Amino acid sequence: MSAPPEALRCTACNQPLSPQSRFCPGCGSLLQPLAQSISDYSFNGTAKLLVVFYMVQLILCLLVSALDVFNDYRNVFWVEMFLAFWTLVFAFANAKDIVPLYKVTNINLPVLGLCAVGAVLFSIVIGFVVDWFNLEILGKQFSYFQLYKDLKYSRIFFVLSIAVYPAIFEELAFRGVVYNYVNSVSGSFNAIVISSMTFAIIHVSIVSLVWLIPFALVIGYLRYRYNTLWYGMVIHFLFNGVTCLTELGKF
Amino acid sequence: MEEAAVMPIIENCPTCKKAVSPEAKFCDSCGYPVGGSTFDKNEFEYAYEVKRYELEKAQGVVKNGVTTLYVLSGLILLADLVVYYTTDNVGFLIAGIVLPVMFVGLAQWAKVKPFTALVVALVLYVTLILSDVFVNPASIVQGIILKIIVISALVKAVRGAKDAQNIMGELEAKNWNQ
Repeated sequence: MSAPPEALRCTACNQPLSPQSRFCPGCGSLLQPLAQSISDYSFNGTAKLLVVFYMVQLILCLLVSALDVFNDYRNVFWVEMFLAFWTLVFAFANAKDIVPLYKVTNINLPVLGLCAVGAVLFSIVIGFVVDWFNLEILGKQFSYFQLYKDLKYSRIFFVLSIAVYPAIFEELAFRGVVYNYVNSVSGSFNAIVISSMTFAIIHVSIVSLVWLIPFALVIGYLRYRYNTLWYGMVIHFLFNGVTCLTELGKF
Repeated sequence: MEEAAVMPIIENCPTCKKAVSPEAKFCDSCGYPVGGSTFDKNEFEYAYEVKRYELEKAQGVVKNGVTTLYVLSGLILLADLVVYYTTDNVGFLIAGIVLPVMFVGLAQWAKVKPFTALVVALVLYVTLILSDVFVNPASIVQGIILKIIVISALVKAVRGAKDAQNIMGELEAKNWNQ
């Protein structure tokens, strides 16, 4: 014997309801409360923090690419240190949502392997395309290592600055801080797209957008799908690391 | 005569056209006060019109932002191509192709995902202005009025897109969106 289904009743006036009603026919109250839209207050607060976090980084990156003092890595180094510090400040302020992204138990080895292979292959392809582009279209040879080559421990600083630093701090800044801020007020779709586009734009190179946008969207999606920063860190490290190795091979 | 008196009179709601049972005081589909006073009915219709007007207004602001992006794309294309032909600097040719393509793409995408596309367009445009300023500080005043117009149109459009999203959610929940 099954119990009779409990009759739907209005919570305000106890009027019996049909299941497809949106409003109570007796008292007119809306039955399903409106989806909680983010209040303007918390939206604006988060948007302001996000703009401050991003604009400081963007302005520094634009200065580094525009000013002659930054043709010396010793000066760029301090900018990198500041950006790392700036990222850590925001990460600590939001530690509750950031720390779980570093859980090692979330790592799935086959996925990690796929990420690693994909990153290396993508980097090799992009490397060839960029070399061809620089030589044939712009008619000049370009080297990232140029900036570092007069330093005492040039190779070490080169690898730290090109491969290690971005894998740790850019991932934390974009897939951690920016992603979480956008996600909290606007959902995961906007979090993936906006964190990826701001990441691509901050590299201040129009041509690079062509590969930075898909690169960032993939990492952003992985961060959404697996709730971890590790895949992005590995992909970023290997993608930039392969560039480092080919650059060092030229010298 | 007697039969006609017991026959329930099925009325249709004047706003959403759904059938309303005779004893209901409110339409259970859209909340229209079928059994209420003229004042109640006017009040409902006013609230309904206000919501729909707010949505139209927000969507209008979004549309202005999208139009701004198309105009901006054309201006960038024109300006960069002129500079390319006078200076022969390939950088301007590349920027003159990639940037308009990106802005037109974002404008198209704004028809589906207005908030996302307009935020990205705003970030991209602000970055372009700032990158000019750091290379050549005097450039801030070049076309300053155009820059202010574009930025304010985009900022308003981002807000409009967010408002439109919220209003549409409310209209959908209340069956006010037919």
